[in-house]
Amino acid sequence: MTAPILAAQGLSKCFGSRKVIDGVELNASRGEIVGIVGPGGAGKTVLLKLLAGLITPDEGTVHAFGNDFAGLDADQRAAVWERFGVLFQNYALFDFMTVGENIGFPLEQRRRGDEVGKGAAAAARSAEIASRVAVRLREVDLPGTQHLYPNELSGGMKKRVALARATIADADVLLYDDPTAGLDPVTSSKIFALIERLHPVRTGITVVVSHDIDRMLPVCQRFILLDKGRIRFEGDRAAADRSTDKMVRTFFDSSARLSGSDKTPIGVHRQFSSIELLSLKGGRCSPPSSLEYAPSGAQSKQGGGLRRKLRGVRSISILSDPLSEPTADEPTADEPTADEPTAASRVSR
Amino acid sequence: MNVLAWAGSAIASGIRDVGRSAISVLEELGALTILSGRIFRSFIPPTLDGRETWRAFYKVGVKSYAIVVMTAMFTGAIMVIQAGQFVAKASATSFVGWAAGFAVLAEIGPVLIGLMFSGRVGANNTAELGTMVVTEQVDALRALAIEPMHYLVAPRVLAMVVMLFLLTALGDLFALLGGAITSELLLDVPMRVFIQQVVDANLVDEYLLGLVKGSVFGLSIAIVSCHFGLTVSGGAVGVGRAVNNAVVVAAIGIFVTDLAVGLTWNFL
Ligand SMILES: Nc1ncnc2c1ncn2[C@@H]1O[C@H](COP(=O)(O)OP(=O)(O)O)[C@@H](O)[C@H]1O
Ligand SMILES: [Mg+2]
Repeated sequence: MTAPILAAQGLSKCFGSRKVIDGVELNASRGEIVGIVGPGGAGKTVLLKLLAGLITPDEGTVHAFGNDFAGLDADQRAAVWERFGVLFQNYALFDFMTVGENIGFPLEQRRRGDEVGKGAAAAARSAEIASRVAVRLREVDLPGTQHLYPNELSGGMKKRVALARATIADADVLLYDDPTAGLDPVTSSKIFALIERLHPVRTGITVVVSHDIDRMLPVCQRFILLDKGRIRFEGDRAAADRSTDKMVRTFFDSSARLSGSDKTPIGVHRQFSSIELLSLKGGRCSPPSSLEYAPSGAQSKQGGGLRRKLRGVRSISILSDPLSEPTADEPTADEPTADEPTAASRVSR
Repeated sequence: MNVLAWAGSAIASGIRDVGRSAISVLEELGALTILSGRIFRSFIPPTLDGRETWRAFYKVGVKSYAIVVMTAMFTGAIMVIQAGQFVAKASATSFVGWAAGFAVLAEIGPVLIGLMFSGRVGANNTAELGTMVVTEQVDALRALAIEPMHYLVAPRVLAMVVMLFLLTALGDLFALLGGAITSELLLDVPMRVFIQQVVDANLVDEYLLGLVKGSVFGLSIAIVSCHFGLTVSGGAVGVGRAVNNAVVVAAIGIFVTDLAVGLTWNFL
């Protein structure tokens, strides 16, 4: 067991009289990808900023690479931060810089710290930064957008630019706050694939806060369920499946339920109305993410395939998503729509 | 009896409110003092980010010069009209240049220009920094090992102090121009005569006092607007509230420092 890269002990943080983080312990060792889930307002963002040393805890300590943040002076702290890459929930793109400048900024900053070069060396370095920016932009599916300003981008594009900026400098600690919020499923899958690929396996850790449990499950080794500032559950996927805690089950439901033994015939999300009447018995099936977002118009074409995939499914939960909001041409839905993206809307009949 | 009890509790709650707001004023003052200290420290060593500094100067200058010139012209005109009533009564039109020039250069010019500057540049600065806080841009800077005090605040403070100094210097001239035009149109004192009066009055001291005031106002507007911008919480609503507070407090700051500089100047 190596020494943890990031270690939090007895963390507490109050805003006013409200305790937003309450006695959180967290260790992340080299190579780990930790997923943090929890309802809105549980304190996930605050916890991530505490871990990044951006908020000072009221109680407890955060050690990064063995250094207590509280004991560092400004220069030492800057040295630690140089090894961090953070994607913020609100994008945090500098709106007075272009996309290219935003992504290259961490590299520019580092260069300035190294040496203030002029001439050929500096030009070569600038060209190298530009090419790294271009590569990263292609990887997040935004090639050729260097010259745009953040206010010309959609929310999803901003998220991807922010991801590119967080990862450009090969940080050892990557912290992502809701990297796929508001993104379409295809892009979300790509983002998580990228998160997995850019994960510093040998040198560091990744911490992901997300609602996107289906995409987190294959990527994260360990999960933390945060509820009202406390850790409600901590463990791997198997432990989550075994848990009897109702809240844990709700969060990890979509996968757990598909392999479950619930005898109740299921109701299916409106987008799957064509397979609603299938009789479903025993066995396993593929992960629900492949079904969740099947467009309503595609049902007839995919009906047979879905039927095969769904054979044996007893119950499906659908993670609601902005994309699955009813549209005018869809059959009218009578199930309640969840107002929180985390809430699993399961329909039974 | 009931009435008395009610009155008693009303007074008590009134005192409590006053006490509470006195405490919050003191808290704000304390925070402003701490911020001032941090701002001054951020100028050591004096290596500001070139691009941010240029951007700050450009924005402050471009945003405010037109409105300052206009404010100044009207200020000069109004002072001539005010002074004109008295000098006409005393049939001492030869004093109008002196009276208007004195008031404009030492007092009214810097204060009105400062207030306009605060409403324009200070409010904008608070909104901009507040938005950067709300959208986590300030956090992002820190996570990139960049000190926001040094990178964001110091260039803005420098730009506001220098620019309000320059704008006061410029605005004073436009105020005198406005005064000269008005005196020709309304008082039948030719512009040339008015300007000669101002020159003869030898108002160099007043002009310098006005410039000192302009710089001090610039500093207080900068500190106040940065403070309210950086302490925003609660999303877009919070930004609006902060801008509002910043403009009010900056105005109070202008009057307080005006008094302080005036007293000190007379004392020296
Ligand atoms: N700077 C702040 N000032 C006051 N309250 C805050 C601040 N930041 C977060 N909070 C509060 O802390 C709680 C947790 O917030 P957050 O960590 O953003 O939740 P989430 O789990 O959705 O990310 C919320 O109730 C929020 O209102
Ligand atoms: Mg959050």
